[in-house]
Amino acid sequence: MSGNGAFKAYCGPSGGWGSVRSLGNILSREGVLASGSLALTRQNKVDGFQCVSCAWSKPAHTLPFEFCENGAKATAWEIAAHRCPPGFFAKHTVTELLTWKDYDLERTGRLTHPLRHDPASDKYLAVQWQDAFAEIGRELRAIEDKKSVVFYSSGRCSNEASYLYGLFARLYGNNNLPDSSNMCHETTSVALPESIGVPVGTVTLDDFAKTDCIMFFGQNPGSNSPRMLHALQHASERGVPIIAYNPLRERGLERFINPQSASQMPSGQSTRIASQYHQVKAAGDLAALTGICKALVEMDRASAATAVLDHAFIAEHTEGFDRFRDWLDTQTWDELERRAGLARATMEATVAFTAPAWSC
Amino acid sequence: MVVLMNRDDVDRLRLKAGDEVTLRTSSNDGICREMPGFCVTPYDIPTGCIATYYPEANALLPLGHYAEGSKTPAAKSIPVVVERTSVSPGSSN
Repeated sequence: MSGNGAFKAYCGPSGGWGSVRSLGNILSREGVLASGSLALTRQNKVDGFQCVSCAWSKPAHTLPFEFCENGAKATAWEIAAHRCPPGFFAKHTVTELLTWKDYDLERTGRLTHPLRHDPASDKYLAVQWQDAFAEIGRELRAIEDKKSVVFYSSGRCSNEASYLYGLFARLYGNNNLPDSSNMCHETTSVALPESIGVPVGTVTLDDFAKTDCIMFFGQNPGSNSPRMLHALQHASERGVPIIAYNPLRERGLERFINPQSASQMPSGQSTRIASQYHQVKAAGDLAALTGICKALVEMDRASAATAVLDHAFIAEHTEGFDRFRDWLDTQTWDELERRAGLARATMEATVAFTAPAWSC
Repeated sequence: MVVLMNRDDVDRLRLKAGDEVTLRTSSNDGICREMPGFCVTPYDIPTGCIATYYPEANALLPLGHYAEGSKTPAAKSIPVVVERTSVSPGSSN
């Protein structure tokens, strides 16, 4: 959020020299060029620490640099050298700070003291830790209904901090412990048990090396989990169809230059990632998936000789398939096209393109 | 703050790249939810859809607008009205 900063269109692939240059800028801006570089060699390694930037796992066999531009930024912020002492707040009122850009506020550095807002002066005043704890404790004790209190935290806190925070909430009298991950994953936790019986994804990192097909819905690996681009690059080089459904064109899903490749970096030769890229309308993914299922069932019906669907698997491991197929028959292509913002031919092409993967 | 918008929508709404717009949630509960200060930025996105970054547009999300079952805020599907508040410097329009 750089406010009035220029927003320039970017035509290159993701990764490449741009991400290497950016890395040096980030570390020197946070004043941690030496300590940051050292920390980064341990990032996402087996004996090192898990990056707090994204949820992409620590692989068993790591690359020399198992971090990305975003992860380096997160680590540089964690160990930031800049400090924001009480003297800073003596100079600025809260009303004035509200007009500052988020980027400039972040740049002031890490807080050194507990602070309390003073309405009379509209400033944050430093208090002793002991006073801060005593006051927070007093406020919490005064609340009659202990179940009405929520202990919110970030899903990217360390395990140790999260464990202590959980103990704190239970000592207090409830287990209201939502975190930022709920915002993303609660839909998974509710819908997956209804469909496959477990509340989380069942794919492991190794599966990316063996899969016959990858489909993307609403995931922007270049922005949200850049280290995944390595797995996608390898899959693309193996000829695996990668199909992306995403309203926004995301460069990471289109082209990638591996910043750690000795051949790609000098040549500037990028790897094509997505074989098909369909710009579904915002919130149109359900309609698009329904269309894909409908096309798949229709294709199976039309090709009597070679079954497209694995009917033995469906009979043994699923229930309610006939009802699902009947429901698909009641969905009209006109309505699905309107809601997905995509042509019927697009959804059918996805099925045709991936058919070899379905049938093996 | 930027709002990503299809080039055809930018033209249809007689906007120009760099114009500043206010986004207002279209709802029928009588509460006005709006956020000013978004810079119009043409982008490759389907017509009729716009995108902004978190958390800049949080103010537009009605509390009662969530997924059935999981109660996850339906932040990816908020109908809004786009209103121009100031013309981009360097624009003749």
